Amino acid sequence: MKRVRTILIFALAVSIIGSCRKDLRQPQWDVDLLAPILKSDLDFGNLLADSLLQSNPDNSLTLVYNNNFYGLTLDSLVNIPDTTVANKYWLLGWSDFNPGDVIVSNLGQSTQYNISNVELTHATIRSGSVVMQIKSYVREKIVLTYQIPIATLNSVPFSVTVTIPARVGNNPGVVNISYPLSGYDMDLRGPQLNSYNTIYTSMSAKVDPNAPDTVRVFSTDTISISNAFTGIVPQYARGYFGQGTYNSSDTSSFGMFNHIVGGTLKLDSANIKLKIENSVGVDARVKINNLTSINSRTGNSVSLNHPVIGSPVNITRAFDNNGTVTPTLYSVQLDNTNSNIKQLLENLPDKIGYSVDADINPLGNVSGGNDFIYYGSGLRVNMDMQVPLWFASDHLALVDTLDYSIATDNQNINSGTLSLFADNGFPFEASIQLYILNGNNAIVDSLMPVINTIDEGVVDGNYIVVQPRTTRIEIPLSADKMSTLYNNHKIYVKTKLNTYGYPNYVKIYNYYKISLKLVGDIEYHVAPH
Amino acid sequence: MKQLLFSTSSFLKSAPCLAAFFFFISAARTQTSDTSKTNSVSHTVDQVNRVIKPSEHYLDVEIGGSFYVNSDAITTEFFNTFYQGGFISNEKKDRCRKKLHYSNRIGGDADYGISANWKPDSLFHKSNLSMNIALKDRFHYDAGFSRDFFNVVMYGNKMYAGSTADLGNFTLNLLRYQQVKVGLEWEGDTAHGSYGLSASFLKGEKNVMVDAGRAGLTTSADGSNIDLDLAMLMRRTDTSRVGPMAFNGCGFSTDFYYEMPYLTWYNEGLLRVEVNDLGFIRWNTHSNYYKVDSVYHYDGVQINNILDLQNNALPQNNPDSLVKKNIKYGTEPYTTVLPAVFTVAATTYYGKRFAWEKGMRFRMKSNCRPYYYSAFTWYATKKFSATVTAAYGGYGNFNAGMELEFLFPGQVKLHLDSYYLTGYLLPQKCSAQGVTLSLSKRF
Repeated sequence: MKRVRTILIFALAVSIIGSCRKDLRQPQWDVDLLAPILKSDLDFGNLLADSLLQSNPDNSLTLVYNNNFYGLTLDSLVNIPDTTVANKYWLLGWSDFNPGDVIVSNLGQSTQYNISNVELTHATIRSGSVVMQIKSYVREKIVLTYQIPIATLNSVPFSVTVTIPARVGNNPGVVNISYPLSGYDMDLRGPQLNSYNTIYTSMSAKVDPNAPDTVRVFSTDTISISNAFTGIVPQYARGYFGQGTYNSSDTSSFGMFNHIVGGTLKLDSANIKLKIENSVGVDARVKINNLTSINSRTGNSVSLNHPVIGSPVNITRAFDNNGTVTPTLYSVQLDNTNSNIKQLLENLPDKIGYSVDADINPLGNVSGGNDFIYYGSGLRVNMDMQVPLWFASDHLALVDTLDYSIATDNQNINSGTLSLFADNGFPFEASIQLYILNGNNAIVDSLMPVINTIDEGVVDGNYIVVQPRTTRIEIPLSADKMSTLYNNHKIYVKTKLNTYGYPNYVKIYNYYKISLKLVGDIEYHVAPH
Repeated sequence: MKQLLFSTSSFLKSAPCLAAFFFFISAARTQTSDTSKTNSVSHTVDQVNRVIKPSEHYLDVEIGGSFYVNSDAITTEFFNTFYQGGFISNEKKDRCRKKLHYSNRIGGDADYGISANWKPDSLFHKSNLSMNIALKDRFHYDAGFSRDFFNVVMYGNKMYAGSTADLGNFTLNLLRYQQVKVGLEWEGDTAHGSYGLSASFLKGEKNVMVDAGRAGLTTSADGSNIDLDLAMLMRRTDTSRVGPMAFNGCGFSTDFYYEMPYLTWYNEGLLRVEVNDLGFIRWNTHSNYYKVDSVYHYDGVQINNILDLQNNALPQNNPDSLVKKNIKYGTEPYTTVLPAVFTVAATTYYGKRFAWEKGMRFRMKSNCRPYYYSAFTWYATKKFSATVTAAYGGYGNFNAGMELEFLFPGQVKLHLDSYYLTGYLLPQKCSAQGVTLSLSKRF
């Protein structure tokens, strides 16, 4: 009985303990927070991507933009195809060779490659390799040395030595090897130094010095070498690149207005320097047949009207001073007075269409086989644009997509209202809408209310902002909207800009800015971790 | 408040602590909480009934633990939700809010341990001398906070738009240490009082101390700016060494009491004066301190380039001007004075079956008000007694409770009490809870 009571007492104590051991969770509650979240001062440089702004003496801004739309580069001019050459060497028959005896010595082989109409005499290899398969029908292991005497790295010729297994029955001993040629200088003039595109190789073979016994070589025994030069890209090439005409008609992307999807933009002026740059050691004659501004969204195209269109331009070869290349340049200025370049830009192109003919060595081999090209150089046509930010816009729509991710642990806002305070110091008003995109980039909801316009700054008679103007935009965030935000990861921002006094032009100065502040009036779920 | 509640709950959620906490009881003679009347009551139970002291020599071994939390604002319901987890609804918060004053307090203790009291026939040639020894794990916490502090933490700052929330006069003290105590008691008679003295070595485990004398949080009317005017000192022990084995400081404390019998009308009585936990802990050189006396202005996280918003580049946990400005921090040793307890109590016996104890207790340096209590005991049988209690003050307001003692065969005694039954019965209105459980055996 005593024992039972004692057990009961301890059972009582244990039950009390047990009743207190619960699966404890963290407390949670909701609070109403009113607090600033983000702030930012944005000047025009923050609003444009892929751009470089340049300040003028009067503090106005000019947009500087470079677009390269055409290029004739090394891979077009000097394209070395992958080439495989198989050589079979018949050995002297019925001879006995002791271990270490030379079977063949310096057996040379010249191969001239066909590289279109290009006649290369020298090349430095940037990348690529020689891949070999060596077969031996000798009845003993042999040691084979394969050399490319015309390929040197730091004045040392290319040479590899491999041991080939003995034949087994009628099956030859086979070795497959690959060696990189990066950095090798190659003299492609052949053994007599009077040729081109020629690679000279040599091979020596001897019986393995560790062979156990004499080996007899029969007249039917052969050693064959199949070598392939694969993926050869020159760092430098010299020779005669031949005569040829390269016609190119294509389009090139134009990123200056990437984010603009609608509306009207009127520019006061635009200056574009159309440049042809030749950094290749060949003479060239370039003719721009057509240069077109293409707006894929509207389908509108505007072609450039200027005397340079359709007129051949001769441009001499670049100068090579021991590896330092001085390109030759040809440029022509396009502006409001001599072309319709302003209309080209006001078309808000996203592509530039072009048709260019480039004649190489139009006068033949006047360099005596000293045409040259370096990796990365070429014959290029580009546009250096300077567009003063003096413009008028009407419902000019800019868009961008922002990625975001709100981790589950941070999804603490139940609902509320965000207030966007904007002190706008720009002479244009901006209507903003934020769309939430799903995984298929389809709009599933919008964040901003109907009234979502940030007013322009206070502008004087000269269309200069004299004082920022404050606008407050309320962004209600319902629980459903917050859920949509949490469950998606992209926001599509669409902004429409209307300049003050359209169609009058306004200038953008470097001191203009818009100050944004986002204030949250939110119900926040506190869930300590 | 949040930190206090977190720290409290983290202690209580510690499984080993919790298990031991309810399984063992601290030695009754060193009880230092609001409810430490256990001392004299259990003593008088023995005196009156004479059931547990059949011989002149004995050895009592006792294990057990106790905890209580009390507040003049935080309801039991609120505290339990916070401690056990779950959603704290606005209704629960509102019930606390109604109890808030300009200045509010919460505090409590949690102890567990083992003790022994040895009374030989003769000790140091004295027949009335006994010796006791105890080993205990102790945790004390208290905080003082303003009404605005509670509102901002639990409701948010929106209600203070265009005004300043006074978060100042906030104090927090979390203290955990282990105690080894050795003491002597002289048992008196009707002509001479009883008295006792003990000394303790303290192993300091953890301390967090915050004193924010000035803390004004100003929210602009439109929410675009927040200013914090803050003067605060915070100290805490080495955060890299935690747990019961952490030795972050050491100290000393002493307890003593004097108990004098008296006669009033035809009834016997005892007057008891007692001091517990008079001592200190010196924390080591790895202890951290933060001193702040500045005004902070926050108006949002600066985004320098709107393109930064792409690719998840939104700055996180970077509240701009709120961090690392005008804060002096470093490591240095410091000393914590223990919240010593002073008690004066008088017990009157009405025959052999009833006793009435009246007392006042005050705890120093702990946000605590004087605690007044009254306990009426009924010695029902030689093996069972029951006590009802009523008290006011301490960390809370009015509380009532009950105490039960059972004597089982084999000299095994079970003690169970809660002086905060009102908190359990009316959790939405009352603000305290606590339990003491002990098991002792006489050899």
